[in-house]
Parts: sequence; structure tokens; C-alpha cells
Amino acid sequence: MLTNEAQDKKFSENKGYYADAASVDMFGLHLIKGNPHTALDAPDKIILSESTAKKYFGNEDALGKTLVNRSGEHVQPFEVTGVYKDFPGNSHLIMNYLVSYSTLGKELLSGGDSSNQSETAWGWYDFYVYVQLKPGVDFHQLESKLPAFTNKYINTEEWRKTNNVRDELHLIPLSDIHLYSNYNQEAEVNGNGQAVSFLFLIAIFIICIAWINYINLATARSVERAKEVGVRKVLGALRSNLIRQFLMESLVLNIISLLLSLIIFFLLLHPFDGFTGRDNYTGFALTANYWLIFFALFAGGTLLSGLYPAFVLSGFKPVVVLKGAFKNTSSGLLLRKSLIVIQFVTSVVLIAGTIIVYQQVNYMRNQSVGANINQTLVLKGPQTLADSLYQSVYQPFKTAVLQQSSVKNIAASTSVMGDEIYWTNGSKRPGADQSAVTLYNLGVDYDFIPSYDIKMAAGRNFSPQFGTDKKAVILNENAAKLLGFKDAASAVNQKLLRGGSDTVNIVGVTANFHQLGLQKTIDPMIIVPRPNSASYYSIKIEPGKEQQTIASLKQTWNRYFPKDPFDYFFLDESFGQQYKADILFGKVFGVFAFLAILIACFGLLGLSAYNVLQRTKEIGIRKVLGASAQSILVLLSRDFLKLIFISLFLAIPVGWYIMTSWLQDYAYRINIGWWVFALAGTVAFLVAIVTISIQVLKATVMNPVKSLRTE
Amino acid sequence: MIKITELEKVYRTEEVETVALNKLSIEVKEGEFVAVMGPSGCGKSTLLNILGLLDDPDAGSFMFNGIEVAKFNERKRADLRKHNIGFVFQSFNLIDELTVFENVELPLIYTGMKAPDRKKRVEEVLDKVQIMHRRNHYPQQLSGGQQQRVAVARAVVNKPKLILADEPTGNLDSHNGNEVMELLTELNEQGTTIVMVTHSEHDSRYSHRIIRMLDGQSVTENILI
Repeated sequence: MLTNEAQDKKFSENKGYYADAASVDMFGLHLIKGNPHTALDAPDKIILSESTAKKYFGNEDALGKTLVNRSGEHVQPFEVTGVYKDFPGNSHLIMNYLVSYSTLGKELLSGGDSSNQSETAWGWYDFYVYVQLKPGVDFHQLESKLPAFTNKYINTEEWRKTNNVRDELHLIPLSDIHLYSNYNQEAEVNGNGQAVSFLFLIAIFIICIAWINYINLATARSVERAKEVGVRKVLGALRSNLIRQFLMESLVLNIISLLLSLIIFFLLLHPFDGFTGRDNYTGFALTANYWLIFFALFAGGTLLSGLYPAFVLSGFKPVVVLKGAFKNTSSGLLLRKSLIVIQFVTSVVLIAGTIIVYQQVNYMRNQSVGANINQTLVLKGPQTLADSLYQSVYQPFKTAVLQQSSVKNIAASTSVMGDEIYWTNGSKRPGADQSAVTLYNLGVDYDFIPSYDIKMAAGRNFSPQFGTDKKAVILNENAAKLLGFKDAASAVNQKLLRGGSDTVNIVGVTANFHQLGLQKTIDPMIIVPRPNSASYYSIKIEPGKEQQTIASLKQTWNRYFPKDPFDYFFLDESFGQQYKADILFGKVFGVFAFLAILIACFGLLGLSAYNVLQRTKEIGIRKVLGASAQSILVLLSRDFLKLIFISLFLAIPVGWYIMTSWLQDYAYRINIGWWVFALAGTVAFLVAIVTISIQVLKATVMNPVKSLRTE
Repeated sequence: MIKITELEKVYRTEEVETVALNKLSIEVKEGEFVAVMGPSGCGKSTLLNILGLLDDPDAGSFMFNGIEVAKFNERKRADLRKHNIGFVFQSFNLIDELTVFENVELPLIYTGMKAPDRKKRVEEVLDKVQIMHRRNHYPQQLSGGQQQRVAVARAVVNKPKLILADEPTGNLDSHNGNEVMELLTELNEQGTTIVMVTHSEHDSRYSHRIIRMLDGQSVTENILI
């Protein structure tokens, strides 16, 4: 927590880091104020992002002012030595402020650590080390030298073997962190590289389909344009003239679509940011790379889509086409049919995928967490209170809170649901011939378990009535199972060696509950009594009285913890945040599904128009011979509907495979129902029928005399 | 069988109005073989389309077998057409994707005849036009004369009372042309009424009567027999 004591502005902060002087240069921090070379070169210096400076100092100049860090009884003043431009929102590392790294060493020294572990320890895993390589250096080369480095400077191989310890150093390129890094304690919630590649592939697929549709339609139209080509050739046009003409046409069309796409892009930019719930990321659109790809797509698309029709059309022999006997060959028909099939397979898979993503998200949101997280207001605990004073302040605070009629109860804990637990240690049963298992620690007070309605599978909750409960622990069912107890009841009253040396009693086993979202498996947990846990206070309140309760809680808070900010959130909301990415994925998926079926329908529309055109004479003859409108409708739709049916049957295995592998990422997942594909298929089928009918109906009502007149 | 009175048909585009039939009155009796002649654009084809119930007149009366059909809707016309009228075109208008047999069978399918009956009937007709040996060929594999014989077979397979022929020999050499004309004559002798549009004086001599048209009107009638 930082405080501007002069103005009594205090905020709890969790996006600040100790950083050495080189980081200013390496991160390319743009210092608006202060000297970049000296900003972090000595203890007790702090540099702030522009918005952080504004938060604490308003429009005043922050340079040279003091911010105080309070933690327990520890008070530490920092001198503001710089203000830097805010990092873009899409950075993998959000830094609201940086404190000079030597500050950490100074603190450790004053805390009695004469060896200054900030410069010597290798085992601290909450540091991010950035290494800037010389241009052209392959990081794999450097990485291959790290094991030897580890052996020399960290621990020898023999030591590791005897102590069953693994020390490994790995490098990951900065640009890969956001999408592909998956370590504990990432600086920010990372994106899913797989999902991004997946969406990218679909986008490529959609643009390819659009190009091929263009080729299809352009060649299909060749029947109409054959005569034009014939006349032009008779009048002296060379083939090259015609190719140029058709390429120009393609270019004009592409330029129009380019302009349209740019307009749509800029129009949709803000709605899209709202849609994805992100900050405005227009920055990426302006990089040189982006425009390079954009124009490569444009040029490639123009050439690719223009060349084939240009060559086909310009190759017509004038004598043949002018006689009127010209008819498009059936070569390329298979290609067109396959294209229809591919388009509709994609559409059905995407529609089914959208349904499945929504189902999965709904399932995760509606499934019981195993604990009651509704109507729970969570306060971030005070940080400035000394341990020795804690109970003497907390107890009166608790009593005051409970006096409010809208508050049902209050519980303290080291963590709440939705919060990833990093506090782990190895435990084993005394005398058991097993290696220690990693258990995730949750420290709670006596009220936590009943307050959250967490069910006891066996045994009891902690109680102040048992003087021995300082050495008591509660496991969850997964931990009991992992430790080899045959059921929950048999774990009760057994001993456990926690963290190697600490012998504790198991007094109870809770039913499993979801500490994290349903994407994750339930970790084996060990719940330990921590009546002094000050990280979070969970307050259960009556429905409908949230606003007034918050207001009165704030008053109470300021009376007991005047030095700490009143910082709260609702637990169901923050827990739901874990599904944000999945919901977003579902939305984007839906948009893509819509686009895919739209474009597939354009293709189908063009192809059915082409088909009708090809068969105009046949339709005429059949009508003259007495064919009814229905029979013509069936005749013309049959071939397409066959293709759609083939697509449906191909889509089922493809979609099932893709979505099953997508669901593998979720520890708790739905089963894919057959009806999903039936529904997706029906949607695609109906859309296809409507599309085909537009053309076919035109053909059926056409007067046959027109199509049969040849003179 | 056919009696049209003061029949009018006008084609309109945005700027031009073309009178195709101008108060035309003619009568064709059952069992007659009538040739319609005249220069291009005189309204021959329009007349044939209206007689074939493919197009409707703007004004006037059209009695077919004593029934007024000028105001028939699409469905009624199609029904009357498929049971009573056969067509032979200059360019044959066979469906390239179907075999000779299937082409001839088509009208029977549309009248709802059962498959075994159809087979018998198609074979009868193919035999009559002497194309039986080519039944499984596709139109493109036949000579022009053979194609037109198939087209004639298709026109008569339903045993229509009236055959409308639009320049049936226009795309044929004289030898093949004569064959087709003899076939039509034979059908006429067996009782089928034929109305044929032609440019050929030679072909017109196969008919009983020649109607000469100019600017949408009948100018003279030559009775040959």
C-alpha cells in the first residue's frame, strides 16, 4: 500500500515491482520527468507511471515528492525520481510503479539478513529476470549453456540428487510470453495461443473462401461474357488485351472491397473493443507490419482471384461463342462441388462449436462451486496493522460489523475462491513409505467454513474451545485421497507431517469445493487455522441491501483501520471473471460462424445461379413437355441438397473431434450431445434451401419460350 | 380444332412497341396439315407459341377443341398442353444429359404414366421413327436427322392431337429434311393435326394448305389439296 501522506491519498497496489537501473533502458520506459540514468540507481527511489502519479498527486509535479509504503509497523518512505508514460494495455507486464532494486537489499540488511539474499538467492521464484541478447543471437544457444551455469552457481548435480531437488533455468522470448508461457505466478493473466491460432486460421479460411467464390462466380459468368469476348476478338482484341481487361476489373472490385473493409474496420473498432471488453488497442493497426500484411493480402487476393477467370475468359474461340453454341464445360465442376462441401462443413462445425462453447460456459457458471459464494462482499484486509495489535483491533471491528442488521457473518482467510493459491508445501503421513505430496494451503479463522457453507465430509471445523487446535488441520477430500486415506472418515484424528517437520492433527475433511473455476481440477488442499489471517474478510450480506451495507461498512472500516484503504469486491462477480475469456471466445466464435455461413451462402447463391443459367434451355424444354414448377424445383435443388447432406455428415466427425479436443482444457466439461450437430445441420440446411430457392424460383417461373428461341 | 379470332400480341420494351400479331384470325380443322410461311418477324413464331399455349395473347379469342383457352392460367395451360400438343423445334431441343430413350420418355413421366407402360410406349415410337438401335445414345452422338427424328418421336409419344413444328428441317440437309417431312406426313395420315412454320417452299408442299403471313396478319391462303 502506498500513501501520499501530505494529501492523505492511499491505495493498495499490486502492480509494482522492484527493478534495477537497467530496466528503464531495457523496457524502453519513456521518462516524462526525471533522469533515466539515475532514476533507480540508489535505494528508496520510486518511479511512477503517468496515471499512477496522477492518482497520488493530481496535477502537481510528483518529482521529488515522497510516497510512503506501510506494511505492518514497517514504514518506508520513497522519493519519486521519475514519471514515465503509461505502458500500452496489451503489455504482458503492467507496471504502475517501479522501486529501485537496491531498496530490497537495504530492507533485507536492516531485517538482519547480512548475506543480502536479494543478490545471492536462487530459490526465490517470484522474480522475473529479463535478459537482452545481442542482435542475431539464438536464445536456444544460450539456454543450452544454462545447465552448466546452474551446476556451477546454484547447486551441484550430486546435491540435487541427494536432496531430490530440481533446478532448471529456462528462457522464453518476450513476444511469446503473452500467448505461450504457462508458469506459476505469471505477471498477468496470459492469452491462449491456441485459441488465437485457431481464430487466425478461420480468418484465413474465410478470406480464401471469398477469393475462390470470386473465381467461381467469375468463371460461372463466362457464359454470359463469352459473346462479349467473341465480339472483342473479332474486332481485333488480342488475348493479352482481354487478360488485362479482366485483371483490371478484378482490381477495381478489390479496391472497392478494400475501401469498404477499411470503412467497416474503423466503424467497428470501438464497438469491437466494447464487445471484447478490452481497452482500445488501435495501436497495433498502425504498425508497419500490419499494413504490409494488409497490402500483401490485397495484392495477392487481386492477382489470385483475377488471373484464373482472366485466362479462362480470354481463351474463348470467337467462332464457337458467336455461333451461340457455347457451353461451359463440366471441368471444374468437381472443384466447385468440393468447395461447396468444404464451406458447409466449416459452417456446420462453427455453428456447432458456438453452441458447445456456450453450453460449456453455462455449465461452468451454473455448476455448484461447493461453497456458497453468493451475497459475499470481500474486503481486502488491512496491511498496516502490527501482528501484536491485530486481534485487539480486529475483534471490535468484527463486533461492529456484525451489529449491522444486513450482515449475517464475517470470516477472515488468506485467500478466497477465485484466487490462485501459491502457498504450498509438501506433506506426508508419519512413517508412511511415500514421498511428500504438495498440498495447497488455505489459512482461515473459525468462521470461514460455516460462513461459506462448506460441507464437512468427516470430522469437525476448527474451534476455539479446543486448545489443541493450533496444531489442527483440515484436508479436502482430494488431499485425503492423495495422502492415501481410504475415505474421509479414516483421515480424521490421524497425524500428518506438514512441510517436513511440523506434526499436525487432522480434525476434519471437507467435501471438495472449487477454489478456482471449473476449467481447473480441484487441488489437494490443507486448511490451517489462522485466526490472524488478514488478507481477506468475507462478509455475507442480505440481498437488496448491498449499497447501504457498503456505505456503513466503509464508516466502520475507517474507524478501525484509518491508515488502510477500503477496498472491496463481490465474490460471485470476481469468481465469474475466470470465465471472461471463455465467454469472449464464444462470442468471437459466433461471429465467425455467422461470417462463414454468410460467405458460404454467397458461394452457393452464385453457383446455383450459374447452374440455373446452364440449364435454362433444359428447364424450358421440360416445361414445354409439361413439367410442373415443383418438379423443376426438385430437379434444380437436388444436386445442391445432396452436397449439403454430404457436408453435414463430414461435419459431425470433424466438429466432434475439434470440440472434444477443445473441451480437454476443461477439468469439468459437458458431454457433446448429438442434437448439437442436428441443430447446426438444420440451420445450415435451411439457410442453404432459402439461398438456392431464390435462384431456382426465378427459373421455374421463367417463360420457356424465351429460353428456346434460337433464331 | 383450332379457331382463333382477332388475336393480338404486342411486345413492348421501354422504347419500342412491336406488333407481332395484328387481329389475326385463322382456323385449323382436325386432321389438317397446315404450313405457315412468311418473312422473318412476320409473327409466325409468336403464333406458334400461342397455339402451343406457351404464350398468351393480349386480346382476341382462342378456341381449342371448342374451349376458350385464351385466358387459361399457367397450370391449366400446362395440363392441356401435355395431353394434347407435341412440339418439334428447328434446333431439336433435346436434353444433352439424357439418352435418346430418356428424352422420349420425359413427356410420359410428366403425365404420370407408370414405368412399364412408358417403356412399351417409348419403344413403339422409337421403332416407328427407326431410331430404336440408338436408344441408349446421347443426342450429341447422333446426326442432325437422327436428332430430329428423336424430337419427333418425343413429340408424338403422348399421342397428341396436334403437332406444332417450328422449321423442323431448318437445321437439316435436304436428304434428312425429306425423311423428317415424310415422317410428319405419315403421322398426319394417321390422324394427327399438324401446324408447321417454315421458310421452305419445298417443305410447304407436303401440307394441305399454306397460310402466308405479313406484319402479323394473314395475307393469303393457298389450298394445295
